[in-house]
Amino acid sequence: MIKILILDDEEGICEQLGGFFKYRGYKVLSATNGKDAIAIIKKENPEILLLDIKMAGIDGLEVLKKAKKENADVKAVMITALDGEETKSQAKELGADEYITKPFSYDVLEKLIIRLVNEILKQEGTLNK
Amino acid sequence: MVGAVFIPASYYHFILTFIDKNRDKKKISLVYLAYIAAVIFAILNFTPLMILDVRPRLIFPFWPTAGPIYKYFLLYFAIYAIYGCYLLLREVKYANGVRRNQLFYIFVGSLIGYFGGATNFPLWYDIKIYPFGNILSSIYVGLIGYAIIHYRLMDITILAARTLIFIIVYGILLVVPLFTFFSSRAILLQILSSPNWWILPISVAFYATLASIAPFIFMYLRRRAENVLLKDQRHYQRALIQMSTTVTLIKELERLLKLIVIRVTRAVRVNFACIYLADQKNNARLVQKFPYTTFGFFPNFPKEIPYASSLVSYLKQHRQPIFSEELPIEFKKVLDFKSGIVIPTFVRQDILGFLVLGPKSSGVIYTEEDMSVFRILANQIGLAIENTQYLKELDELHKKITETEKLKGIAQMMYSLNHELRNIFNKMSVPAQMIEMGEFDNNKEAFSDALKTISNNIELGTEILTYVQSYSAKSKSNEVKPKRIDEIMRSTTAHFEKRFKANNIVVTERIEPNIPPVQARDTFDDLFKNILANCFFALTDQPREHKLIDIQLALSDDKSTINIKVSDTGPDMTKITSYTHETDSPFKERGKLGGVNLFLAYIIANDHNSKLTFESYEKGGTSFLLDLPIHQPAIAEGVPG
Repeated sequence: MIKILILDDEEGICEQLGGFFKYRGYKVLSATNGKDAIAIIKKENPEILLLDIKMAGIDGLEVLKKAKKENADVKAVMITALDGEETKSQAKELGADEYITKPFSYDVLEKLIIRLVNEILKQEGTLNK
Repeated sequence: MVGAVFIPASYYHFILTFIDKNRDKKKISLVYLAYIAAVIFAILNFTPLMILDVRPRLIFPFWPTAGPIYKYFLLYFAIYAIYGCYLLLREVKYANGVRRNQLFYIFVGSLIGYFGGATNFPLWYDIKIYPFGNILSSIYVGLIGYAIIHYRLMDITILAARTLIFIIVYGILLVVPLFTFFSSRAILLQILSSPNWWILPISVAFYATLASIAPFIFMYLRRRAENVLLKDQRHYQRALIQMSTTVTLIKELERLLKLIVIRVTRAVRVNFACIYLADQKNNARLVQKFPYTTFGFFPNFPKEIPYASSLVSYLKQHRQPIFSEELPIEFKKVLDFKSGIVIPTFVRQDILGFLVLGPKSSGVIYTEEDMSVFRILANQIGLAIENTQYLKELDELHKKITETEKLKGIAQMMYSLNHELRNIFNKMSVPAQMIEMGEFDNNKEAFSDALKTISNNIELGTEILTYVQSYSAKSKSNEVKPKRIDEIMRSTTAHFEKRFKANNIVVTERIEPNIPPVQARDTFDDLFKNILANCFFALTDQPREHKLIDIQLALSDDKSTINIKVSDTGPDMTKITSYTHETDSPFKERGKLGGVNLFLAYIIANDHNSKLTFESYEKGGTSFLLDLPIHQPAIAEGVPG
């Protein structure tokens, strides 16, 4: 089962997104701050990260940095209300796979996640070979 | 003969003074030497060493015969006369205008005078030449007189007054007692042999005393007389000097120029005046400003003079106030007027303009003393003009900076607004999509929570837009009114009271008593509302243990500003920089909300000639600081709503 970590300081968003992906067969992990998210990454080693960039304290970019250190193959989707090129390129440099802007549609998000899951499966298949 | 002995010394002394070389140590030592020689020759004049005897010569019943040292007297005479003339001639070469004419007339007069006078000497050595040149000496007097009147060599009124006072003072104090002494010789001898002989030494002592005090009495009377004669002149000179010290305080160029023209015209009482000022926008010309006349006629002067014209070049080269008569003949076509003055003004090498003054209404000519005053005035006018131009540039720069800051603030605000509304829309969009997908169809509680989330976020979005709309509406008015900052602060705190209480936020206030009202625009009412909204969102965005807001208002030591400090225990601003697209933005948002408020507060502070700054330390909360001027000298234009 693919593990997805959802990081958003809005508890409601975490719950609703979590419910959505849980319903679709993913194992959902959630955190409302960066510190908890890093702890979960270390412990659970999720394959996909859904990270809100703008956070008080440790933000989504820092979490991504640390997660990539733990597991370079981890897939990450950055979520932000800021549509700045600088932020986008910063996220890309840190190894983010996708970048979506708020308000996002579940449809688009789901398609992204499916694409990432396929990539993961492909990589695993290649490795198995 | 005693008088003639002093001619070379006094002539040389006069020339040195006139050509302004009387501080040259070498030259002035020659003056002392000349006077010493003159005194020696004057004493020897009574001995046969100077005048051997007198004999009939030509048609004259008697004529002196030169003694053995007379030739040295002639040598002394010739050296000083020739050297004096040489110094004059050298000065003529370098001078120009009226000054050149003055020097020239003295030089020519001196040559004629000396040549005429020299015809006296041959007969002393029995050379049969008549002293026909004596008549030429009067030409010297005539030429000097002409230079006095026509070329302002000296002020004839002052000269006459000084001469008269000299004659009266020295006549009464010295000549009368001396005359009495010589005419009453018999009586004096009688006194000397009588028991009252002591009267004589006392009389001599009295005479010596009179001789000693005579110069002081002369100087005192001369000063008094000049004070009376030059009363008007001194009065306006004082007025002009006083004006020159105050013109630099005027900040507006047009006002400054008008003041200069009118004040100078009235003080000096001239028939007309105007000023030509270099056009700042187009440096190619000087434009006439404030043509002013006291008798209804202003000459036909050009409205503009090209900067590249020969007149401007001449003034740039000359650099000094100049009499209208001194202007070269080719400029008469441009500035055709008599008995007036042109006063150029400079800053460093650049000519800023020039003041044109017509003749004095009294008909009295401008003096050298006037010129000195105008020199000072011209310097001060130059500084004052530069000052106004500098202040104007500074003001424009300040306006540009204010505008730029404001635009920067607005751009930041739009950026924040975008960010905040997107977050709010997202919070609404997530549950709305879930509802649409039927995710909550079997879960009434989740459905109700989703609707509540949507409703709360609509409210939040409306609140944020209300802050923006309020600023937009209030910024339309530029009117400045006195406002009590402490009252605004208290009413703002009261506005948030319920929300603060509901979220366990404790507010402390430290407001100094007797804070004076500030001059402020309507937007000022929203300043604290926006700052406190930012604090509120920062404190409620994340769960926090201590939710405190501290408000401080204090009057600055010089009582010119009110120091405002609003601190909270919310997130700090030290780390929230990495993902903002504007690295030099005035503030960084601390959470998902409140950024718009912060930028609105920043713009409002900017509108009131102040700047909102912050202090923030890691995990130490954030303090917003603002030094608000009590008076608002220049309020920037409002942002169009």
